[in-house]
Amino acid sequence: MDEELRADPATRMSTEAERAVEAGRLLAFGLQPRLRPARSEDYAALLRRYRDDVQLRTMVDGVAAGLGLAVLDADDYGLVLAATEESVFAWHLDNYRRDMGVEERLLHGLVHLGIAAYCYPTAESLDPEEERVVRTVSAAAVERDLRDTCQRLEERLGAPKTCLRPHPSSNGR
Amino acid sequence: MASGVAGDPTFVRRLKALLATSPLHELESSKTLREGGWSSLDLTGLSLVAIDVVVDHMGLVGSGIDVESLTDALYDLVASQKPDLDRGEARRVAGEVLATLLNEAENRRKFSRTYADPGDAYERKLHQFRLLEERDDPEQGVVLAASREAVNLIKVALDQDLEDAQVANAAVLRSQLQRGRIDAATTTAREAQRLSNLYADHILRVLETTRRDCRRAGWDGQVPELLDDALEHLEHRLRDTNDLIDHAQRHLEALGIDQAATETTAGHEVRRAFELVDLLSGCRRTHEALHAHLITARPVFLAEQDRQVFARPSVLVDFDPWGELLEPVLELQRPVAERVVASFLTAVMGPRVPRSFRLSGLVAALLRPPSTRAAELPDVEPELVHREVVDHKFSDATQAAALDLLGGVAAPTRLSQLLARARSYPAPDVDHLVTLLALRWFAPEADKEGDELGGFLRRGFGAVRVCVDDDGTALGDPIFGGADLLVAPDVKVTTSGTGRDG
Repeated sequence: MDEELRADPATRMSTEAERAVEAGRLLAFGLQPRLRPARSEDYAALLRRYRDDVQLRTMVDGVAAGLGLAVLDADDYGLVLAATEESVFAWHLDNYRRDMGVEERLLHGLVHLGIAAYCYPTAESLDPEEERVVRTVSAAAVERDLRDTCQRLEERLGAPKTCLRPHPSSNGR
Repeated sequence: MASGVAGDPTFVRRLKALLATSPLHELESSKTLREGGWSSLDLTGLSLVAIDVVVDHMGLVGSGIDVESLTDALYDLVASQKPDLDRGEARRVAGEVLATLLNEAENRRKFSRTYADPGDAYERKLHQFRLLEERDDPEQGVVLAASREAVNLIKVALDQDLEDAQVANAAVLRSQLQRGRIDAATTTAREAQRLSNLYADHILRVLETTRRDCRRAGWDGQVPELLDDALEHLEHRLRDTNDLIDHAQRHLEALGIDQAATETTAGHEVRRAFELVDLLSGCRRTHEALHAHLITARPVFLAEQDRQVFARPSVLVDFDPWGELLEPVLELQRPVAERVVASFLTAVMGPRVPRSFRLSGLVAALLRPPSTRAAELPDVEPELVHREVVDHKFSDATQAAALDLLGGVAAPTRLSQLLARARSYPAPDVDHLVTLLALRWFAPEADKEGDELGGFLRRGFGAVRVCVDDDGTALGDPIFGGADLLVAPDVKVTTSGTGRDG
């Protein structure tokens, strides 16, 4: 392909432009997190190209970086993207449930963090060897562990300012 | 313990293999504590069969089996072990076996058993393992797969390499065939099929790991060697399996019966021999498919190595999310905690695509009333004033009287007559209620949402079936005016009144 590029500037232009289009399409697929390559032949083909073609990969990664996106992985689940805080694609806490007050939203955020920490409590659980093991959570189990932790912290620190206080009806579980 | 134990490297492996069976024994011994006739069930056996069923779905055929199919298979087994067991109870047994294998009791964490390591001054050590685990397969969704420890449970010899187990299995099979023990050979062949599935699963997982991270998969020597070994092993397996198939077919010929004759003779041995050939052919297909897969594996490795060497290194996590992230955050003051939570969510939520303006949605958007945000509302408890709750205008006695009166209508009756009867009840306002009900039945289309009378009718008078008609006769009543309606028991005749009552 390099020979070809040097030989004809017009070819180079078109291949570069084509590659840019492909990069854009792959990123567009990646921005739809529920879309799986198994369900879209086009997506699967672009992902294969992303893995095999260094130039395409460089372009996708570069455009993504410019948009404030990091490519975390490109696997059977698709192009996995994460946005930096400055990115236009960033998800912010105030995007979350606009009908909520600031404090309630923070509590929801803490619960999200709690669920993540419940599924992956230790460094060992984040070991890539374990990554294909599905984590199962139940609301009751997360709630129990969160309340236990909060109560322990409350006993230790005394002033529950940002803690989730046990609900009076839950017998302080 | 014997003094030689400390120097025996297989001792700890054997010990661990034994520990991995403990959840099954615990399940078996717990059954006496249960009600519902579990005591005659073999729960250990059921658990083993569950693992067998899972392994049958692993390898080239897929990543595992879904929970529903496994539960159904177990349910059938429970039912055949104890046909008189109640269906619900059999389902419960199947569920319990599955829950045990997944360690549901400890939120599906790994099982933890302690042992004393003779190689390390008998220090207490933890052996952690899973039996069944859930895997997320991009095509099949969430499926159950057997762990390495569970796999040991299906092999007759505990903790033996898969390859060795396959070789041993083939040797046993050959010997059984030579001695004409077809029944036993069929059983062995079934195990051979499971071992082939597991071997395929093992190889596919190594390839998968490599695709994700070639350094971890041991590109520096180990994996290519493993692939070479695997290819060689498979070639041996194929040769062995072909030999065995030939042998089994010769055995069939010796029996002097062709497949068409089987139906009539239906000899046990012949059917077994055919089954054996089928099983062995299945093994051969698995070997061939895996062999083809391995041939293409090497280029995958090289491509992946290229790709991954230039990729940015993956972030290694070296902290406990619960103890070293969540707990410290819960201790923080609110503004600081909010910053941490906000960046955590931004990082894990994935990208959010800003919604773009669409002309087609503009009018609807402009007409939509502004949403009140909870954050903007003053955080004040509203002062609630206690109000007398008026449930019904008509008392229970009045309602009972009206129900009694209307329920007793056997022939077409004029409203004026009903009113006269209504006024003979001691309860107040019965005439009023009867009039309202008659009007309602006369014009049911007025029944609309939020209409209290409609709900009241459905609640209290649902059992009364009457129809009301207007024949133009005027009502001569001191209190109510309008038409003297006809009230009759409902005989499924459409009412056709057009007049209106005042």
